[in-house]
Amino acid sequence: MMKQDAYGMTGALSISESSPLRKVDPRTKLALCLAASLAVMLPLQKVAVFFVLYFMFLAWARLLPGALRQIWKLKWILAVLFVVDWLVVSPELAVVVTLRLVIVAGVFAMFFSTTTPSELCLALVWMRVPYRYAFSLGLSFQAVGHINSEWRKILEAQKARGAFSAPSGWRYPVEQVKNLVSLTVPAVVLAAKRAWSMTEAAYARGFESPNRRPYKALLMSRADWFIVSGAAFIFILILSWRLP
Amino acid sequence: MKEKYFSTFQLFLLAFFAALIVVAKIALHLPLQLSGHSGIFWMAIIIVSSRVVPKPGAASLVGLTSGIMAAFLGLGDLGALNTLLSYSMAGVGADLALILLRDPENYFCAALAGVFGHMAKFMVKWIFGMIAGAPAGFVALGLAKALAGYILFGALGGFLGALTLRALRRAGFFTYLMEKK
Amino acid sequence: MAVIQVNDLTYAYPQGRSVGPCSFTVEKGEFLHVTGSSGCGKSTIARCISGLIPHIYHGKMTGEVLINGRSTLSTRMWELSELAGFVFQNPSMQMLGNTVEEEIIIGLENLGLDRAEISGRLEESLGRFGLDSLRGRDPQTLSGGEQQKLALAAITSRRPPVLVLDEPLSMLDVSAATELTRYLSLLSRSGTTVIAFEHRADYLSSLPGVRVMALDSAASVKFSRRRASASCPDCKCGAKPLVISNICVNAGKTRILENMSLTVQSGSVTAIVGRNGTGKTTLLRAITGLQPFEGSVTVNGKKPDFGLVCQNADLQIFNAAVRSEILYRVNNPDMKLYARLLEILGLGRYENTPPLILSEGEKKRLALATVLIRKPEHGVLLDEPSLGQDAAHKHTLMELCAEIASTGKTVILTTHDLHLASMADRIVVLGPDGVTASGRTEDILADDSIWARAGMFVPGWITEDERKGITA
Repeated sequence: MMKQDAYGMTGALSISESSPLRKVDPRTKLALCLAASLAVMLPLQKVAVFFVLYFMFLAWARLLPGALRQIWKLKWILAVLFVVDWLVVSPELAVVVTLRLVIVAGVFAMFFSTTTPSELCLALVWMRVPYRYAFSLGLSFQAVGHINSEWRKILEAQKARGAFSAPSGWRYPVEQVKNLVSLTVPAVVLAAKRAWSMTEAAYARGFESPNRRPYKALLMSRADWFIVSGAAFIFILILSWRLP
Repeated sequence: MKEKYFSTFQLFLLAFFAALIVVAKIALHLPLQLSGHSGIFWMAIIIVSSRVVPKPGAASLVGLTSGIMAAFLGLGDLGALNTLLSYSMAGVGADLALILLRDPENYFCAALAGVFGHMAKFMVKWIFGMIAGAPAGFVALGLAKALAGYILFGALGGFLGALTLRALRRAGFFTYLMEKK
Repeated sequence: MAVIQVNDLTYAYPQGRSVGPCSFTVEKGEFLHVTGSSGCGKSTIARCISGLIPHIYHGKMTGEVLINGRSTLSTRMWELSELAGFVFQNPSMQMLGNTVEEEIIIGLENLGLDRAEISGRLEESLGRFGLDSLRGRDPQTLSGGEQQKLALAAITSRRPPVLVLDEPLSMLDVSAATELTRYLSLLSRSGTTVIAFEHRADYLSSLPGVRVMALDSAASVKFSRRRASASCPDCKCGAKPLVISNICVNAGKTRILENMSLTVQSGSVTAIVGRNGTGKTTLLRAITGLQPFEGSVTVNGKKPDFGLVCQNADLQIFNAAVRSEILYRVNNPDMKLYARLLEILGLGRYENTPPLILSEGEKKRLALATVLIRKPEHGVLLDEPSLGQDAAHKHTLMELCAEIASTGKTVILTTHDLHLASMADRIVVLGPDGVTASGRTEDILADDSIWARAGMFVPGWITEDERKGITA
């Protein structure tokens, strides 16, 4: 039933520890991703130049294998779009659409594959997102492992009781959906109980105290400023480049 | 204690519902003999969340949180941004539909809200194709087949959500929630 | 000087259940052990003292609780958390951080301390509770004992003058419970006022200077060993034993069970004990076929048919009433058996009650009923049936197990509670290398070397009578 065990799944977080971007402030990375995603609006020559720079940057950041995997996942969509655009509109459009899709599909991986959820929470608090919202986001990551193992146990317990013995096959979708109630109800109940325990535990440790002072803080280093100014410079250069 | 829009318990509860969606998406093959059925559980949880935390925005918050988680976990074929937006929009779509339809325990309303939510997710994919400059007709054609699945599984998800809510009510879940702020 | 004053305290839950009235005071530096049976209101009163009631509960509280002269009604929750720290029953459900360090830091941040002070307190807590080597670990990967120590470290690092604990020992094995008791004793001696709400009386009552307060008379219920086998330990009824031969179970790259062989007599109650992580639950899952394994598990040469009662009853409850829950998807239910189950499990008056509003103990009994109504051919397996149950409930449970066994069926239960295990006919001790020993309860309890090999010990308060298996 399960593809992986509880921690195998949270392991899918796969943060690239070896990437130089790992040490970069999450705010810098977020700004970088947002700016890079605007590149989809560029015309062909500019997007081609950007594409080369983008891949050079990925290589420097040791994120190229991940980006290539992402492209591989898209291979059929890209191939079909490329051929159809070529035949129906023009080869130029085929190339530009392909490049744009590759950029837009991969650009935010620069952020998500080099940032931990805890760092994201710190960045959210800096962006004036209330602490309680950022904290609950952190809890949701923590909950994935538990919920995964609870799901497995619910499935086992219900299967043992014959909960899924209704007719199967495409003719009985409604019957089958009804069977799923035996999964969703315990799952929701357990989630609520865990949420309540966490609420009590948080309040027992002074949650929502107006005196709260964070132990960890985000700090823009020289590398951050270098990346931000470098990226801004390149972006302005591309925008101001007059095409012949 | 000053009244907040979402109480801490409600926030944590919504966070856990978001985690439920992500777990269902990654790790579970429901014992259902239908292909492409992951949206069923997805929409069901969103519908359930909108009743368990009966405030506009609850489903959207579940969608957004699950979107952030899914982006971190590398789900989806079209990249992190697409994943983040499509999960979020599924919540927003269901939320907007339920503002109009009101009762998520009603099978029809819930199924319709499920279709809305799932369609919103579909729209994100379509808009992505458009932004990339792909011809609108072709994108529409390519996604037409998927559209039928989105509507069917959105409706079934909404239906499962309503069934779950009714079962929860009968099993005393809302009585359990009653004492918790 | 009284640090805590509880005056005419009552609390009514919105569903109608109520607790109290009660009044008591606790002096500065005192160690108060509050006992009482399940459902007598221990957890509710603990929450009233910590301020969680009324701040995050909707019920109606009357009377007052004063901590250091400040009323819990008029003091804000975050301020109360600085006056009275609270440690909960289930440590895995209260972990908020991604690492052990973070778990402690979260509470310290809320005190408004500067970084240097937080670092200092963090190191002190990690050192005091022996968590130094675990500082980078995910709290959810720790054992139950380590988690409870971490919960205690996270709260005591905030240095509250009062520490309230709600059933802190109920989820722990003997060694972990003994170690935690030692820490509580140290805290008390260092001047912290400790109030422990705990029905496992024996650990705390043995500490010097502890004042015991009973919330109800049922708290004094004592275990008595009831031999299950009026039955057939030697299989005279013709029932065949469960034979487990060389089974191996892997979880990913970790081998949980390795070449384990065991024969379990039918017509008896067998308790499987062992420290956390020795594979008790995995073994039960393998017997039922839920867990893939190498090797063989057979009864009379065939695949066995056992019913499994899960540790957490909430995993399987979803119907509208107790009746529909028990009869769910049972073909041609035996209504006589149904009526009998309701009677012996004390569920008769709840037949039409929504299961989710039952107490935890009642839900466990309901889960057992859902298994028994299916008449599993060879018997039942119970995974940690005593978690969170008081002495009276454990006693009832063991009587029921004995009754099932007396029909020639096999009853196997896993437990970390040696009190409960001492009431079984046979004990199987699992250690790091598989089955450490297996045999009659009195023989196993009497042999200290077995327990030493399994990394456990039998506390002195499991009385000589119980060790020798004398029926009360």
